[in-house]
Amino acid sequence: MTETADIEKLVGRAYQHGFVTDIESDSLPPGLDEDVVRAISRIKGEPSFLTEWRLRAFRHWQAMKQPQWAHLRAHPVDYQAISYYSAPKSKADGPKSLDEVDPKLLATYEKLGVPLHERARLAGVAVDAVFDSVSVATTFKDRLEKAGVIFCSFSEAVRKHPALVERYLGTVVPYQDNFYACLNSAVFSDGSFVYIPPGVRCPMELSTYFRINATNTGQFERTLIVAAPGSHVSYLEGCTAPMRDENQLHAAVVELVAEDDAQIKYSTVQNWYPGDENGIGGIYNFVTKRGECRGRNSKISWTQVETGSAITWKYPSCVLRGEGSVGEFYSVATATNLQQADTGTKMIHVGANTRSTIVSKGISAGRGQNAYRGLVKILPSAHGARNFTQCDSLLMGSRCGAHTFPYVEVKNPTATVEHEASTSKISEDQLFYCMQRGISEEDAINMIVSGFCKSVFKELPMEFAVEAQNLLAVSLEGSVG
Amino acid sequence: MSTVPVRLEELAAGESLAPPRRSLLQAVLAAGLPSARDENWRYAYLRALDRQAFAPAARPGAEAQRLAASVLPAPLEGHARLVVVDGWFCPELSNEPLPQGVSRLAGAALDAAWVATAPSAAYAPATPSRPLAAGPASVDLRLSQLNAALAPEALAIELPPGSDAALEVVFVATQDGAVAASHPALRLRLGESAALSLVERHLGAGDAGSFTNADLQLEVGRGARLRHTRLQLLGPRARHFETLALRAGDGCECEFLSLAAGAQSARSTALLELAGREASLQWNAVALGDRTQVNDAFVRVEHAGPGARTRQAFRGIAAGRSRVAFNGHMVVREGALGASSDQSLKALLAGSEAEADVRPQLEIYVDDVRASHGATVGKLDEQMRFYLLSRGIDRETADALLKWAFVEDVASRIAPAALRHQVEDAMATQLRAVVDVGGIR
Repeated sequence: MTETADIEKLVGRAYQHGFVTDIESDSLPPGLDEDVVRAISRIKGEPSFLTEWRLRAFRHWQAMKQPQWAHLRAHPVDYQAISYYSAPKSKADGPKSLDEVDPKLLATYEKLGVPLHERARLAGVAVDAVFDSVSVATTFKDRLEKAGVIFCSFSEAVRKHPALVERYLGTVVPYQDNFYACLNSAVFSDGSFVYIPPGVRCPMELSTYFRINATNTGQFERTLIVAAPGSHVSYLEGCTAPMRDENQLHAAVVELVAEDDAQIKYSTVQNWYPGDENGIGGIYNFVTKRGECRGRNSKISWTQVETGSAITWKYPSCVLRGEGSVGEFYSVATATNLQQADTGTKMIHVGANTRSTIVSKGISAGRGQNAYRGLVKILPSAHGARNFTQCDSLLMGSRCGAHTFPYVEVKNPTATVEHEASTSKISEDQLFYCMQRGISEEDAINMIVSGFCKSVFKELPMEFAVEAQNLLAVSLEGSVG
Repeated sequence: MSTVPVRLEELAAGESLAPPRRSLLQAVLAAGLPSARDENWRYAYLRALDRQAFAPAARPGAEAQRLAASVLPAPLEGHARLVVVDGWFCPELSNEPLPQGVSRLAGAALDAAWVATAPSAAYAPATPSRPLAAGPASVDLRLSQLNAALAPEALAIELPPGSDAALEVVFVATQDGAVAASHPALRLRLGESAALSLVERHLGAGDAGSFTNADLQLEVGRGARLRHTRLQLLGPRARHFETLALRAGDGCECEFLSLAAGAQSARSTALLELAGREASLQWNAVALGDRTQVNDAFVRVEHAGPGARTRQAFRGIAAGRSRVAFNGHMVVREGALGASSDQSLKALLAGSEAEADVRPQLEIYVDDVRASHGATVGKLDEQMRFYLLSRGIDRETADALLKWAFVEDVASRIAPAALRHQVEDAMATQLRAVVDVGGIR
């Protein structure tokens, strides 16, 4: 058996993506009031409807309290100590092509392995890269334009397609929704916007790499994806962040809208800086993600691999309004060292014959606390609704915690809801069997963990699946209790 | 924070309560009564707490005793009977003389023995600053504290080591909840290796909507065995709250069986701590809801000692416009190595506007554990129904049979047989079984 010391050594290895690129940034001073909200809106040249919406959100937020129900321990966030806007200096003229992009910036992506130019082409991935808060480069525009797909930064969408933004913004996650979504609504800096026109199958996987860089800058991304009737899109989101000492807040909002027969697949690999082995530093990841299946037979599928962040508070949800619509949630969440994750999903069944599937795999190691929190709600109108939930937890180490908080609320007698969960440590029998066949303990654990997560990984697009496997192996190697 | 009924505040401010009781009540009021915003109370019918008179009912007179006597079931063979009416022990209706180890506590003796030792720490919900390593959030004992502050007397049962007993405690509510409340209290201490079969019944007399806030505190010593059967068959307008707290020592075996079919709204809270090594617990519950009934149960099991085992089974049927809810919260603390826990929660929706809520929760702070839970909510199986219909059984009978079968795997564990038959009769009434129950048996 691996000794505790080995586990700690392996689990506690340094964050491999830890570095800070030194780029001058142009930020607002820390603090938040109506003037800051107006200033953000002014800098971005937004139309008045958006400024007003931000202000309404800000006024509402002032009366809200930070939620306390999650199974988390967090240092209180001083919202007045955060700078709410930061843009790379080079934005003065705006880069016309990749050649104009700050080479240091490109080098940063290089280190992270972001497939921005050559690699992007090879991987067949269009990247709308967000460096801090302003998009600096977008690729594959032509091919997408030919298909009629709009894939651009949120600010660009506000300038070029204000009618679309006004029509859909805040319709899935209204600004009153929760504390963090409300804050985001008031101060969001940028993000991605995707519109897939009717009947179009997006010709490639769309991908955005988010990255936090300037010290003290919380990131408030806003993503809006609209799939018109009969369309199809797969969207990939990946995150890595440089090492730093103080806690950073990341409060993003993602809204998905699927019309009749449309399908949206949203995949995330989240690897924000988790803090060191003493729990110092690390990102606070308080994200609101929600999709609405508005149309008949529409489908929204969430897949997430959460290995980073000091704290993850995230419940990608589906509102299944359209008749026969389908919601899916596949998740792997790990918590090592002093990481805490409180994540899960909500499936709200409104329409008849709606179906949902939840597969959640939680892995706790070191002193990590990992909680699944999920709601399956069948409203009286959801005749014949169906849900299946499976959430399993794997424990590695005697000081970690694995928690499951499912809520099943059924108000329609024709619905069927099933939930099953199990919690255990890695089976010593399995480990013994592998090792007795000459497989090293390290590899055996990797195999067992991979097998544990297989039903989630197989839902990821291939290039992401590889990255996810690697991430998981790095963060959990050698951990066994 | 919920609005506190004025009458409770009046009680806290007035002179009718002894000082320790008054300060306890003030602590409850400071924390506020449970509200729908409390995660662990979200499925309970809490408007039942509004407009209630909390003032304890007066000692039952001849009329109340006559009413109570009229609803008492046939005596159970081998079980000594203790009857508590509106929170007051009634020796006239109980076994005479009192069985060994049973006593009633009242006045200053009660205050000294129980009120002073009631959990006095104010309930504090979880906050982000609370260290997780310190374990789960503080346990919500507000209704238990309320009972300690207001119960006129308590029934104390203390069984000596190695003894063996069988008791039936019948709680009868006769008063209208708008006038006065019933606050029955029971304290049980089982000595080392003692064995007890305890049958707890809640019955209503008359058609007044009674209000009960019962509190049971059980302490089970090393190697003791407790078999506890609880039957809540109150009248259709009753409002019932109950808290059961258990602390079990090394090698205890505790088996609970709870059937809740009565009352307009009922909420039972069970806080069970397996403190010793190798303790085992079985919690079996059946809840039947009809009309607009609300039946909510919250069971929190905490494994504090190593080698503890827990099995939980819940079967609920919600018919009409009723709501049936079950929260099974399993906590395995640091150091509770080798824990094993299994939850099987099943709810059946049998009414077009019925609601079923299940919440099987696991909170685990140790890796040497094997915990699982399964929960389902659904309707009657069409294939099973078709099978019965194809055999010439009419639809109503077929449905009644299937509902019966749904709860029977839990209900069949009731012992002794005489009690099981009584329970089955009650269930049959509730399930509107048109078939002859005797035939099913």
